[in-house]
Amino acid sequence: MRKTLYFLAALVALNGAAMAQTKTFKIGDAGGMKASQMFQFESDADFENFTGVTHKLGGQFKFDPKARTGSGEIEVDIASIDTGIPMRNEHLRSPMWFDAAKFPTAKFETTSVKHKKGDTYTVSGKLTVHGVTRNITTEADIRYIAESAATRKAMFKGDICRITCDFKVNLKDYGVMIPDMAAGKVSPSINLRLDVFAYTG
Amino acid sequence: MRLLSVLSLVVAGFGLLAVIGSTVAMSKFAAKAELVQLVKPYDSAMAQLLGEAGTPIGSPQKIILDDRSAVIEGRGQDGAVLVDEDKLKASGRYPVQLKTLDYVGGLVRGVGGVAFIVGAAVWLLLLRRRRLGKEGGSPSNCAYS
Repeated sequence: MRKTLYFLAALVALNGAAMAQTKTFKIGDAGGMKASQMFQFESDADFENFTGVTHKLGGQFKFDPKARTGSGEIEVDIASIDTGIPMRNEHLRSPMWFDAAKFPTAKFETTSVKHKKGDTYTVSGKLTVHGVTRNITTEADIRYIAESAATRKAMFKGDICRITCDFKVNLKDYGVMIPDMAAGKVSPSINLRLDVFAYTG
Repeated sequence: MRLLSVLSLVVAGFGLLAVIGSTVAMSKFAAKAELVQLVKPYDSAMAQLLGEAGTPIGSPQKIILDDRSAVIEGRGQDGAVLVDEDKLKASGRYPVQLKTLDYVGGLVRGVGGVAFIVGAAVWLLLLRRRRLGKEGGSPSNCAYS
């Protein structure tokens, strides 16, 4: 009985020590970092490649730099995505496309983060776009940088975690249909890229 | 009839010109285009911290860069020239991608090709009819009358 209690106590202590390594990072507006936060999509169509970019991101990320594991969620403001052409922006926000009024955000929530090698991780999670949620798995780069004079000079607050990942999605899977008049100008599958600097503050 | 014949010849000529012209223009554009990676450049402190010139915007594309004032130091993926997207936007420039010209060139070649074939076919048909008409009106064909 006593041995079991000791074992449980040791387990709790170990767990506590392990939990202590997990840091919570915020994603969002942090002064000078705002412009560095980026969500972008790229359409690779026959006519041209074009990108849509926004810096309006929010969420949080828990990461243990020693155990190399973590979890988190990121939200992207759809209405603020800029493709460089005002009329195209309006089209993308319209009910015919992403319907930003009805579905103002896209969200990615991790279900597992597994270390692969170096700063590369295999990340699985639920991606919600246009009100449709689907499970996806992708590779992500997660680079942990402890607070230093260099990070402070670059306007970062506290430790930072830079997360970059790319994933391809079929618009049809998320209920976004390409109108006939846009065929050839917008690709049916788009590449999404997240480049996020999460900070402990 | 004669007017239609001339018109078909003009259509065929313009079609052929369009095919040849767009092919020549495309080869010139292709020679001029370079692989470009648009980037949102970091400030010096950030670039020093991360060891990168900036965040790439989209994937590298073959682009015709007439004005090189937005080119920044360094090379991107596959040796792509790095171009400051903010500078391009500020100056209201939207460089043409080679694939867009390829797409338009393909359409011009397609339409030109069809115009050439249709124009030439109509012209040949009219020519044949005219010859047959001439032969039909010659005295040798009146032998049975």
